[in-house]
Amino acid sequence: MLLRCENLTVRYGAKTAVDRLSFGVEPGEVYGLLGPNGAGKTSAIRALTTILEADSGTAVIGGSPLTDPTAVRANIGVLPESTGYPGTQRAIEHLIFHGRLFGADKRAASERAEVLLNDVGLADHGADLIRTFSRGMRQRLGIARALVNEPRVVFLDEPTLGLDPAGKQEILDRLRATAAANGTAVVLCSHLLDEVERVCDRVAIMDDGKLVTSGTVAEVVSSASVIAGARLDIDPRDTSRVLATLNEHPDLRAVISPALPSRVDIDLRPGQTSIIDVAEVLGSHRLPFIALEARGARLSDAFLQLTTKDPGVITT
Amino acid sequence: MIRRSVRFVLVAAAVLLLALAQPLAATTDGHVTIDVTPSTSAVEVGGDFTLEIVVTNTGDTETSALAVHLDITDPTGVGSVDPEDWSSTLTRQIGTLAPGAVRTISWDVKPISGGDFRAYVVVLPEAPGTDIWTSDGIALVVNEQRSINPEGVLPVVVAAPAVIGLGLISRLRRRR
Amino acid sequence: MTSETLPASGSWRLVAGQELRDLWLSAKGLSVLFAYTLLLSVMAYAAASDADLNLLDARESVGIVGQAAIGLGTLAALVVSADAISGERERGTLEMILVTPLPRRDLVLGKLLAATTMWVAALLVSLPYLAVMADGPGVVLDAVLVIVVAGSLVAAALTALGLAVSAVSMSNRTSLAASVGLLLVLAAPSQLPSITAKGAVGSVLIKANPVAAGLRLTNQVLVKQTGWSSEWTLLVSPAIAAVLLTALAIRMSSRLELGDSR
Repeated sequence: MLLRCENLTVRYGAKTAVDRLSFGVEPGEVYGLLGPNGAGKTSAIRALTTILEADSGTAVIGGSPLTDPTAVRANIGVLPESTGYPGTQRAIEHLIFHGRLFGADKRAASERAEVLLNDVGLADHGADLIRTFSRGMRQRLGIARALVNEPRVVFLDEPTLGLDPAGKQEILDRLRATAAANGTAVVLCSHLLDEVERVCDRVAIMDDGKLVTSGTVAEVVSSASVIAGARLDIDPRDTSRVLATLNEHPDLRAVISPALPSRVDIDLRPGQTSIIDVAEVLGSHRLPFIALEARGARLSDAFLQLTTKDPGVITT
Repeated sequence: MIRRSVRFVLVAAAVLLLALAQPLAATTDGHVTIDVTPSTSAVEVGGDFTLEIVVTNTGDTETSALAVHLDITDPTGVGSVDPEDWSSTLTRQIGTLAPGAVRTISWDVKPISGGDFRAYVVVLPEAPGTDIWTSDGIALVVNEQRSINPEGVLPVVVAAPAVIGLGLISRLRRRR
Repeated sequence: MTSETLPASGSWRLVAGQELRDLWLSAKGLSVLFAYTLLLSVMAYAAASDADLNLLDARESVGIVGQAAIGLGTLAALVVSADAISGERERGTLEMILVTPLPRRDLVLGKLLAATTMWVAALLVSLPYLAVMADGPGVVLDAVLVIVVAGSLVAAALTALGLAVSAVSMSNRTSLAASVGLLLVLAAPSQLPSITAKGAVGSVLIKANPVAAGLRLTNQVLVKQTGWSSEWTLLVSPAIAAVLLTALAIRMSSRLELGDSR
């Protein structure tokens, strides 16, 4: 493993921000770290990137123990969530400076900066002052900066913040490709759960400083037992007939969706009824429908189930 | 009879001496005149000018030790003036003056504020007494125009910020 | 480049170089220098006018300009150093530096050197003012010497102090307010009436205070003409403060924390 932490604990006075956190990331793997606001993700990343001193626990990052912060820093790349940029520097100047902080000579740092600018789509903006950059451009520059030392482990906190949909897709694809090609371990924090679901090999969900669950997306969804409902799209003229029929079933409860009059939300009794029961009721009464979908099969539903927080307001 | 006459003469002489004693002391300094040139002057703020003061003993006895005092005022009361700011010394001692003796003093004055002022010179004995002689007034018109290059510092105080300011503007334009 | 490489020893040069570019190639350094020059011009012209009107002795006017050059030049360097770390913390750029293998000591040293160039620039700009004003009373050499020696020691001490304050301040405003406040407090005793300064307590108070001592030395050499040989003790506290405060700033680098200004 390129990153392994065991029982990592960070405290601020009496408050425990990270409580015995343990997880590991393999080479080439993209690992999603999720959690609502205040869950401890940022504190965990700051401890793992040597910004904060952990109160207890151990971690080995890129082969170096956390007790040797200089060696750890040489092996990591970081894009903090609310990172700032020196507006008076030019993009290429900024990357060269950071490359040299990692020991590269001027020429090597310059060549690496040009490659990275090209990789993140800023090849034509290398000579521009950073203060003229849009938020999305700054985010691309931040990703380039995090990769300037060809790190073995990369920590990215909301890397697609401010990017348009195409830009998000492009950056995520590049991250995946970088991880796969170089064997880099990537730890990704994002509140965009569909994004995490798409790009991460494994995810972990934190709440109140603790690791609630971890595994592949399918494992996390399964562990949350979140298939607790169904969504039925019908012709609005059939609404009353469908509702009456479904509610006759003792283990089903159907209501019109507040979002859409042609949609019916159905609550299932966990362990006793499933979406198949709904399909059977509809079939036996020859009720027409447009679509029937299990509700809660997504990572966002698992997140809600496990943290009782709304992912739409999650920040790290 | 002779003895009574002698006693009378002595008493009379004593009374006469006593009677003459006070007037004799009052006329010790004789009569003093003061001439000041120029009698009018128009200068600029900060501009040097010199008053020539001639003190003459026109009496027939030597004066006691005398002091000469310069004063400057604005009789209209419109402006305030502190003569100490205009001249480092306002009182000078010139000693005694024999009958007919003349003492000339040059007095450098540098006005620090503009306006219409009146200067005058007073001569008075150093010793306690009531004698005092005053010159005619000297009309001083001080124009507000100050030196725009005091101590030769103007080129530096203008050029230094100008050069740095131009550099700043140039830098701001280049970094845009 | 490999992930195993570390920055070469002396990476403070790298930081100093970048800081110098940020300071002087952007408008920041020239803006501060421009403000300094404007203030010095106003003070020099006022002092020269007063000397021209005999309100001030010519030597006194040189003393005023010399003290202003030291005080304002120190303030200019202090403004830069007080922003050096707390400013990065507030702008969110410090974290990116702290996650690199750059030794914290080199970070602080590089920033200190860059901030010191603000004093050097102020010193160079003040020389023509002093040369013109000190020409009349014939104290040009003394004026240049006093600002180079006393001014540089005072500025070095206060620049290091500003950086140390900046290292522990979570906000830039706090850092600037604390640093400038300290400068004003330290400069105040030099304005004590001379009768107070001549007393035993007043004398110790001024000699032990690096800023007041430097300003008093300027006054003694340029205005009172007491000569360097009798006033050299006024250089002791600025020299000690420069060394100790620089050491303090570098030592505080090991405790440099990101904090959370968000």
